[in-house]
Amino acid sequence: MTALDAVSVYTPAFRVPLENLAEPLGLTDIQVRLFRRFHGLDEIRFDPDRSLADLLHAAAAGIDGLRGQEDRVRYVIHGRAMPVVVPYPRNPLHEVCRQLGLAHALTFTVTQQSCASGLLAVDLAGRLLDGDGDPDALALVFTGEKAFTRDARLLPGTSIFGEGAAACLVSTDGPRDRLLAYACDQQGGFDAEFGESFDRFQREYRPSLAAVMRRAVAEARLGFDDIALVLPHNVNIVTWQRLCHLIDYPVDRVVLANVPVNGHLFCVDAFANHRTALEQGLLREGDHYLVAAVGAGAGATYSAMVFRH
Amino acid sequence: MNLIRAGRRDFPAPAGFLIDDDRRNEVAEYFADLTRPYNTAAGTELSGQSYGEMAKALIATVVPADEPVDLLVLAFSIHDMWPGRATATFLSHLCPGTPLSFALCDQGSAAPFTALRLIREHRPRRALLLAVEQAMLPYDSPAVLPKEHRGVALLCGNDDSAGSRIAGLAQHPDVAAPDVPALAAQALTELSAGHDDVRLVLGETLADAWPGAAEHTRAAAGQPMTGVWWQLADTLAESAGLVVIGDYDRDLRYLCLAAIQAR
Repeated sequence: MTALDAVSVYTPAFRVPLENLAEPLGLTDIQVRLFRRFHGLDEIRFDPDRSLADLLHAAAAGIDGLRGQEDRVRYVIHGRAMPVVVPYPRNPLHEVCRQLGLAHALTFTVTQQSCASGLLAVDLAGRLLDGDGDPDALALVFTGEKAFTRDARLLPGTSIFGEGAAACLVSTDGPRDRLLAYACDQQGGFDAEFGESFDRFQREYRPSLAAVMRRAVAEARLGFDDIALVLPHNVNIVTWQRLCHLIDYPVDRVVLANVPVNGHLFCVDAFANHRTALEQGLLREGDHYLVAAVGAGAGATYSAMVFRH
Repeated sequence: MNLIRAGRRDFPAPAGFLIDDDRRNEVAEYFADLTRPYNTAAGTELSGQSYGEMAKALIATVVPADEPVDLLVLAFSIHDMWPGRATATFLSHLCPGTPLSFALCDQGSAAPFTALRLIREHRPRRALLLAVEQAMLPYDSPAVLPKEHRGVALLCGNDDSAGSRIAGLAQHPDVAAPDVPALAAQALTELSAGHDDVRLVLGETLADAWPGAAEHTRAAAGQPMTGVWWQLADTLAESAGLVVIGDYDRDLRYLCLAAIQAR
């Protein structure tokens, strides 16, 4: 059974107030006020001095269980929202692996599920380890990227991306956070090839995410009453208020504390919220929790995972 | 897991998506932002292909409507000319079965081999592996570009009565070029154990790094991503027996081999 043995998150200390992003992102005063008052965003994290490789390295450096265990790591997978992030043939992922003493690991990126690619990476890591059948083997899953272009900085009318990274050690029999179910639904009909679909996407967003969350909970043979906590994607606060109304789930059990202080950190949100949940003592041994992610943009991917802590 | 059907295509004609001025501007802005931190100048010429268009044509070639697919993996090394698109999600909508879809990259020529491994671990009824490469970069790069825009589609399935069995996979990371001959020979011996008649297909880079390799077919030069997979379709069709394909990525140091039992 796939398990998260350790999770490390790097969030830069440097934060930019929403108002300072108005000009570079081409936002009007009204749009800024909407993001602040309606969507609950306040500051966005950036790290102008660190490259993508630096971000990933900073996340990995926070995993105590990695040093001295490098030879157990068989796979390194980067779950990435943006498909192309450096000029070819640069390869920051392999660069980081060499720095970390992980050159022996099979290393690759999975992408094109936008911000849902991080959960996919966790699932694939577990499948590869399970296929090998070695209970001592580990995989390292990275998430995180640079907000380097407009598409990677702004979800119009919805959220603003920040920078950060997470690293997660995955095993097949770890005792900590065990994966009970993974559900994923893709809707490629929102691709630009099929014409403008923003309004339809906005209408279907919450029902589609609710459906995939329900599926994950059902596949874990649980009900929402059994879910102690939801670790959301930090797209904005109002989306989660409305979604909770839709699924009849108490919004105070959704970890939303990072929305105002992080921005939407690509595939990192789930892990940043995991850290916050542990720091605030929101998860007890045996609790079930749900992680949700949506990859939006050209097409949509809705994903949810249920874990037992 | 069996290889049910293979399809392949080259794409000599200009891509349609760059005809649209808004799309061109969007793509140009993306590449300008991508290259700026590296002091690499983005060129003004935009040509090349989108993997969405290439894969769409390949899917139509190998996946009939009555053979729905559960899993689709798009494997590439060099990126395409529509860099911000969630192409795999788009392809999920086009492919019969609306499969779980994702792209696998940043692994050079090892990516299709890893994709096969992931397909095997998923145990789907049917899965589609798309290996693609296009031959244009809109900025200065030390990369050697592929000669042609090419794509290969491999439809895999768990029905043992159909197609050629994928009998084995071997992947070795961090292999220095001088170590390739011994490691490749060992992998070939293990993958072909019990078989007298083995046909070997080697990618250009592996053939160069393994001068003492047994008699083999050398994949087309200048197609680092699709070369061996392009050749595989021909070799499987020739006669029954075990076919072993292999490739080596000199930059990322991956040595990969796969054995397929043709019928």
